[in-house]
Amino acid sequence: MAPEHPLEPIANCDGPASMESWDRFISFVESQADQQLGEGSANYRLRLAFEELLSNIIRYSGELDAGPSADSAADQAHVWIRSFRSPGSQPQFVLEIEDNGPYFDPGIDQPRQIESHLPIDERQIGGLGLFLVQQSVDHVDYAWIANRNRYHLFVNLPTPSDP
Amino acid sequence: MPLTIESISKDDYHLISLTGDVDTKTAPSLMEALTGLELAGLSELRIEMASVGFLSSAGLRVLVFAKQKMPHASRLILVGTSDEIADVINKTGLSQAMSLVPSHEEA
Repeated sequence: MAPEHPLEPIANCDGPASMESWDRFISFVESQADQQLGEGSANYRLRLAFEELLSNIIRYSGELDAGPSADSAADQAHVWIRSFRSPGSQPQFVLEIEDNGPYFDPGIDQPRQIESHLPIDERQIGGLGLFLVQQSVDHVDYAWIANRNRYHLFVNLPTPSDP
Repeated sequence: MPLTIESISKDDYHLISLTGDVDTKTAPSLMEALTGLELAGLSELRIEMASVGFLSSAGLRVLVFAKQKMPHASRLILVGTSDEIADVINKTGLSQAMSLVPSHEEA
């Protein structure tokens, strides 16, 4: 579920949408996940969802497939990552990923199916990444806002009533 | 985390030992290691996963690529995968194409 209260900012990080920023972005999210979620499966799944989105963003921004083609920093797409905490009856950790690359709505709100019943030789493995994004977090959304792609990944935090 | 790859031919199978993360950044090096093998002639490929902390869809695609290039009756065996990685493989239905075993003795 999307948050019912205003989000409380925790930390942020930004950089060019290129593989040169990869390690820094991953380290930032790992650090946030460690601090907010602790060790365990939720931590792993958040990183998995983030990495799938980040690789899509870099790919669609052009560099992953075509090599560094931007003529200047001004031509290069940029990524902003922000973390939030959402209070309320179901507290959540929220990761916001924004980029100013080309418009790309992956249809993340629509349930995705994979051809898991087919033999491996007949499987089309495109779409695996977005399927994993949906499977890995409690809620994900996408919006095109002010000429930027914006994703939110929501992970439920334990509540006082949880065992 | 960087990925290191060791590739060793055994008597009746080939062993790839991985240490690190298999993600978008490192999956190409695994792909390179696998394409350097004669996959079409392999009856069994074991991949040591106990020191792999993370596997993304980019890594899964490389494993699927390898299995698709291997003979139909061949075995692709992942040894010592973490619970999190096993969960990803099961969710994507790819466990039908590769065997997950805790140790080489059970391969």
